[in-house]
Parts: sequence; structure tokens; C-alpha cells
Amino acid sequence: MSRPENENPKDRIEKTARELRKHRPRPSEALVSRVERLAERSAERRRSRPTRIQFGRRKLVYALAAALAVATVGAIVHSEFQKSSGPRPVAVMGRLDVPSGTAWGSSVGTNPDTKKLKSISPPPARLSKYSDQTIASRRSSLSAARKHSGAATTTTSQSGMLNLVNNKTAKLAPGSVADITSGGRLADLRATLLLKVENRDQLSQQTAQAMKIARSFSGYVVAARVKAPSRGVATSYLELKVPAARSQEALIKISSLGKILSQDVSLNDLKVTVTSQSKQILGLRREIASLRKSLTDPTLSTQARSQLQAKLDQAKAKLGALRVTHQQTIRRGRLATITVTFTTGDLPKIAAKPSRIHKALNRAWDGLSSEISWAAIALIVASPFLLLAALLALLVRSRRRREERRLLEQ
Amino acid sequence: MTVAALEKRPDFAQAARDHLGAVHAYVAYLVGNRSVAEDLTATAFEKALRNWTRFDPKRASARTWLCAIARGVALDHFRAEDRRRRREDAYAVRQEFEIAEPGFGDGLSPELESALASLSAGEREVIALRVLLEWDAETVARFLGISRSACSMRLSRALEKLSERVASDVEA
Repeated sequence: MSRPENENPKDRIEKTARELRKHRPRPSEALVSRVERLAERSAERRRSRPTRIQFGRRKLVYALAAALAVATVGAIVHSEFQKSSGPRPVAVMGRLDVPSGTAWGSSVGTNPDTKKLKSISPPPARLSKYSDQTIASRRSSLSAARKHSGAATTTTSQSGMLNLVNNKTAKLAPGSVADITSGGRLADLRATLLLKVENRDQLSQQTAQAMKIARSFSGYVVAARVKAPSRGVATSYLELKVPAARSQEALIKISSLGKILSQDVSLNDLKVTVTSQSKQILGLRREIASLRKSLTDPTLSTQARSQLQAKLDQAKAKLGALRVTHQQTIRRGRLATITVTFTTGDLPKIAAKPSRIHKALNRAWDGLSSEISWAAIALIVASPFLLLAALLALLVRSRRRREERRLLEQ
Repeated sequence: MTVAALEKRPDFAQAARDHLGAVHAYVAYLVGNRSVAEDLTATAFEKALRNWTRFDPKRASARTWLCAIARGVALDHFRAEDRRRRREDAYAVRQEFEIAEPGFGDGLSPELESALASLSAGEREVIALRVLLEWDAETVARFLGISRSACSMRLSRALEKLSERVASDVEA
């Protein structure tokens, strides 16, 4: 190959390239036949094997979106399941004369002293649980409770408690308290009233009056506290004990001392507890009698005697404790607890009752957020390992590239 | 990959027939030895057949995919050769295999043949891809994992070196 001396380098390169293209290496016959054989094999394989479907990057994105959708649906289903399997206490609605948009358990006004009110109010969860139920079911429960004197017992056996809570939608006779009685059965009756009075003077008067009422029913005052700061909302708190038989009368009288903001009357049947305690006491007495009889046997060995004596002592101690508990239970049933709070302020407004869709969305969001938090925890736990793996992969890749460069430079 | 995409994928037999020449030429330039290139090309096609289901025509053409496999096979060969050389150096029994037959193509001038042989595998590779297979700079850059400017630079330097060596050989 001869080249002129004054040839342009560009032309020279072009000429070289043309020559290279012209004499491009061709595969030998042997290689062609080898590849042909491979091609035949591929045709056979294609006939015998089904095509494998692979996942690309786009498919991965789709898969992630699908996983998110599944997680959302799972959260909704989970929340619905929780809702349906949750406890459903039986509640009886009483009358309530409450300004619209007020609720239990929230602080009254802006006075920090009103926090004490909060502490004596039932928890907000309890309110929401009850407010979910329809008025119709509440009314029917109430009428059932009134109709049969043993209704409280029946209800107690299901939920252990009869509750009366405020609800702005309740339209019972204004200015009265719930008529909840145990119907002659031993029951633990607890009533909590939040009453509004006009001013501070009335607050102290009505507080004194409530104490008088309790005493007039042969009851007594367990605790009393009056908080009347120079500015803001004044409150007074009373815990009264009155005989259960006259508790309804006392409640009516006390509730007339102010405007009822909220009331919570609960009735727990104690008959079952007392009966079971009596049975246990009886059983223990029998056991003690039999142990005593056994101890009189003169043929008993010293060891057996000491064992029996220990058992007897144990049974006696148990009997003593059980008797005390029994007495306490009876006493609890005989005396009703009335907690009264007088206040000069109003209850704060609460948000409107959420719709069914809103509640479902909230539950779904709760479920989803819990799933997300679990995923985040998993990611936090795995992240150091993932980081290490990524670093290792980068290291291996750069090392491989360096090595390739070195090999290709040879 | 969707079923439609699978249907669009060419048949391996057809792809092998269409691109055997290009892949062989590329491997021959990369290794600089025709008999070795033939073996490596056959190995590359065997490997391609095994992995044909992984080939996605949306991501690269069949020719690029086959060349990428051939590159991997050639690099494995270089690694094996490197290890062999090191081993032989350790025991002082290195054997240099002379190239008995033309390495880069029938009909090439001896000057061009020797000039090509004097280039590094990386330089020959870029010449094969840009000059012989006539790939565009973008595809070659992506294939080699380098920038486009680095690719152009590598090619111009390789061609310059090649033509200079050819010229000096002719003058000599």
C-alpha cells in the first residue's frame, strides 16, 4: 500500500476507514454452521418451552402502585372488621337540657381552673361510643329498662353497665334526670351531674344546698371542693353518698339546683357478685369445718397435722378477706354515689358529627398510616444493610470497570 | 414485558443469521485473533440463546444486545488470559502465541494489519463499532459506558494512531 507524502491527514484517515470496511472480517463456514445449529436448537426450544414473561422497570412501578392499592384496600377492610368486631355497650339515653354543640369531657371556657372539670368527666371516647348509637335504640333500651324492674340486671349481664349520657339530640322531658333504678336488686349506682348556675353566689348557695339534700336523705358528703377565682369560671365539686333506695329522689332534687349541662348515670348489678361471694364464703366455711374435724383425729401424724393446720389457717385468712370484700360490695350496693359539679361556665362546642363516609375514610386512613409506620420501621431497620449493599455494589462495579479498562488497554 | 412486546421480539435464529457477521467482526477486532474470535463468537451466541428470553427489543436492538454479550465473553477471555500470563510469569514459563493467520480480515494490507495489532483492544473496539459496524456516537458511548465526547476522542485518537503507523510502515 503506497501513500502520497503530502496527503491530508483527514483524507488519510478516511481512506484507512474505507479500507477497513472493505476488508471486514467474515465468519468462517465452521462458525456459520455452528451458529446455524444453535438457531435450530432455539427453534426446538421455542416449540417445547412456553415464553417467559419478564418484569421491566415500568412493570415494577405498576407493581408498586398495585401494592399501594392493596394496602389501602387492606386498611379499609381491616378498619371495617375492627368496627364490626368492637364491643357495643348498651346505653340508655336520658333527658338532657344541653345547649347545642356542647359535650362531655372538654374544658369549660378558657379558665385553666376548669381543667378540674375535665378530670371528673367521663373520657371522650366513651361519649363518642355512645353518640354513635341511634336515638331509637336508646329509647327502646330505656323503655325496656323502665318496663321491667329486672331490666338493669339483664342489661348488666351483657355489658356490665347501664349508662346514661348526654346527647344534644335527645328529646326527653326537659329539666329531669334519668329514671334509673335497680328495681330492688343490689346494684352499684353512680351518677355524675354537671350543673350550670348563674353566678358565684348561686354557686356557693347551691353547693351548700346539695350537701343538705344528701344529709336529708341520710347520706353524707365524701368530698367537697369549691374553686372560685377572682376572674373566670367558678366551679364546685361534690361527691355524695346517699342510700340507693332513695337515690332517684336525691338525684331529682339535686338536678333541680341548676341547669343540667351533662349527666352520666351508670348502674352495675352487684347481685351476681354478692351471690358468688356468698357461695365462696359458704364453701370456705365447709372447708374449715372439715379441716377442723380432720384435726381432731388422734391417729394423725405430726407432719400431716401441721399440713392440715397450715391449710386451716390459710382458709381462715381467705375467709376473713372474702368477708370484708363481701361487706364492702354490699355497702357499695346500699349507697349510691352522686358526683355533682356546679359551674358558672358553658361546655365548649364540639365539631359536628362526622358522616359515615368521613368516618370510613378516617378509619381507612388510620389503617393506612399504621401500615406506613410499619413499613417505615422496616425501612429504618433495613436501611443500614441496604446502604451497605449499595456501597458494595458500587465498589464492585467501579472495580470491575477499572479492571475492564486495564484489560482493554493491553 | 407484555405479550405484544414478546411477539415483536425477533426470532433468535433470524437474529443470529442477521448479526453473526457484525458480532464476529467486532469480536475479531476486540481480541485481534481470528481463531479465538470464532470461538468467542460461538460462545457468545450460545450464551445469547440461553438468555434470549431476557432480551427486550424496547431497550436495545438485537445487534447491540448480541454485541454486549460478545463483549462480556471477550472480557472473560481477557481475564482468563491475564490470569494465565500472571501464573506463567510466576513460574517463568510464559509462552507467547504467534498470530499465524490474518487477525482482522482477508485482504487487509500487512501494514494496516500490523498497525491494527499494535493498537490496544479498547482502541480497536471503538474502531470496530464506529467504522466497521457504523454505529452512531451516541449508541457507542452508551454501549461502552462512557461520554459521547470521550467516545469521539477515543475514536479520533485511534484512527490517527492507526493511519500514522500505517504511514510510517509504508515509509519504512
